[in-house]
Amino acid sequence: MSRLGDTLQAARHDGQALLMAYLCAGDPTVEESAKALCAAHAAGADIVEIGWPFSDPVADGPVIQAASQRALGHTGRAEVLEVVRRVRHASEVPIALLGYCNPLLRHGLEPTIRELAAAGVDALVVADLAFEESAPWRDACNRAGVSLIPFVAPTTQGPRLKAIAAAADSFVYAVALLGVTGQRAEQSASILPVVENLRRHSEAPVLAGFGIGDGEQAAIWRARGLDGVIVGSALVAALAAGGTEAVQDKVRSIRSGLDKLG
Amino acid sequence: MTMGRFGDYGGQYVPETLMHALGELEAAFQAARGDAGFRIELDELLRRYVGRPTPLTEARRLSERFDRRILLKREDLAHTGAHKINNTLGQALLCRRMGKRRLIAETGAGQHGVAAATAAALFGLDCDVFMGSVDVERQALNVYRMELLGARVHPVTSGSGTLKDATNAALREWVATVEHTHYAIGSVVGPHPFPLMVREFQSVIGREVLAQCQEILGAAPQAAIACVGGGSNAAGLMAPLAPEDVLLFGVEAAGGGLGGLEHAATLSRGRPGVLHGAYSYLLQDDEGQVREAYSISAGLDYPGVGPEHAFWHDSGRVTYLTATDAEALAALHLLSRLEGIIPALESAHAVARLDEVVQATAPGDAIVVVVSGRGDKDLDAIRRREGMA
Ligand SMILES: Cc1ncc(COP(=O)(O)O)c(C=O)c1O
Repeated sequence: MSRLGDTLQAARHDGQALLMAYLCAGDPTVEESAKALCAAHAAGADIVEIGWPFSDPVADGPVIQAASQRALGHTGRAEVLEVVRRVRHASEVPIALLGYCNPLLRHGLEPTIRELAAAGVDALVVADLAFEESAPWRDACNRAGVSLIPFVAPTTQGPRLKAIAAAADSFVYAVALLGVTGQRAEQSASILPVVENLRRHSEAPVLAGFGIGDGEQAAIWRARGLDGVIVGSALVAALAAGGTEAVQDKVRSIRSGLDKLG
Repeated sequence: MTMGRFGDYGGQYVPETLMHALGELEAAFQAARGDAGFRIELDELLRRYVGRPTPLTEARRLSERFDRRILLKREDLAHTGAHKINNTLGQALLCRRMGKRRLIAETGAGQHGVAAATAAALFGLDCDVFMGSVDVERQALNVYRMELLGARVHPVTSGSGTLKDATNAALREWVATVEHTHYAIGSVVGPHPFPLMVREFQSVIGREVLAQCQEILGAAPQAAIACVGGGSNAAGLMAPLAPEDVLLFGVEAAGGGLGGLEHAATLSRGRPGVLHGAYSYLLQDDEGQVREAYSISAGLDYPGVGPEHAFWHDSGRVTYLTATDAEALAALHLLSRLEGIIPALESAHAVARLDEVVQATAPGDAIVVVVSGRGDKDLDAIRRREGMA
């Protein structure tokens, strides 16, 4: 966790915004997805988020659904771990793994999380794991030295919010809209009161994700006081259209949008 | 902390966005359960609109053939032609109670979609139904019925284009519109409180069966059997019967046979995991990817199953059997010719395993079979298949 902890602390110290860049493992191949993730880091992503493809990604919009489908045929557990190892081998960038419950449970939660940690994963993001179900996951993550990232959404309220805030041991993932992943023209403000409320209970940095896909939009979230942004679909689309270089261009432009207000 | 478990099974494995809506639904459901006004309104609807109680018909020629007393629970005679309406009316009432103005639903055979569209029409709610593109084709008549009822039908092309994919699409739509939309899930699946709530709304089947058996037999039956897709007609039968001394059987679709991958025998061939918000048995590969299910019957073509069935399966309270496409077709012919009742292909799976229930009972014992729906929707598909054979 120190890789992730150090990165978060350094950003706070320097007043820098954080950028987490998502790509799906195995899309289009193990090698190319690993290369593109490293390139995203080199171009200015502070954290990389590696997607474990799943047959039924209910939190994802069409772009990531399609990436998952492209990867599924040749990307299982071994290949996901291979992508993690390759990224870890190349640098000390903090790695978050984004998955759905079932593939993570398939061969036992505890050994799977241990194996991910050994490969170099620092944080786990589970799209369909509600906070209410997360206790055994958090215990397993704690034992492996992995941070389990809690979510808040525009609909998160009351005592649940407080409990979620208390569980944050690195950063909080703020779902920026009502809906699935995928870039949107409009940047909904519906999460802002939830973030404001969250700040009363937690010091943890809050990163907004879902719907954010370019520098201008990233700048909006920075201006709204978020500690950083998470970008997925826009990078997946860039990789599919223009390869690693397009990913780097995209990351650079988002980075400069974020840094505008420093 | 964790809610709505049947033993280890169930729970709420959903994106954070939905948790508020599930809490709201749970509260509305619990309040409605304790509200005499709600119960009276639902009972009235079931009586005067759906035509309940549905008959328990003595199947005389079938009884002769099996040397048992076979009683058919006639959900095929419920308004819209299947048990699905019991659930959608309950959920539409809850939808209204929560102040939401739109219902969405997934559908496989189209029976739940039709039942949802019907309830929406009755209550003046907006209605969108998600249906796999393969099912849109094989259940074309039901698509037209939904449209006549004022619903919009959205074909879903992702994945295998069947019920699992339609459920994904409905969940994604719900995440985006959760503030004013209620997702009326069609079986005892999904996150808590759906499995419990749908089972409660369907339990009218089992309560009526017990009362009707009391009247006809003066006692509970010796055995009862129902088909299991997600498991709602079966859970509705079994929940009230489970405390009684009754042998209970569920029948899953074995499709082309359990030897291959072309089946939907989730409890018989699956392993526990998480799909569509619940921890239960599911058909999955070694990587934890969910497999495509297959059955001739669109309503059983689902790789998951309700968590309460997973619990009953592990505890041994219910015995889960399977029937192949060919066996279900033969049973459909049998019931049609012997009793003048053309069952839905789903229901025919239950009829097909009467042989096993006979093995477990003695001559003269009473066996209740749920005829969960009528066969009209399947006639085209059957005619095509048998024309080719
Ligand atoms: C007539 C009929 N029976 C059974 C089913 C299977 O659903 P369940 O297992 O929830 O009763 C369906 C589903 O569409 C159906 O239409």
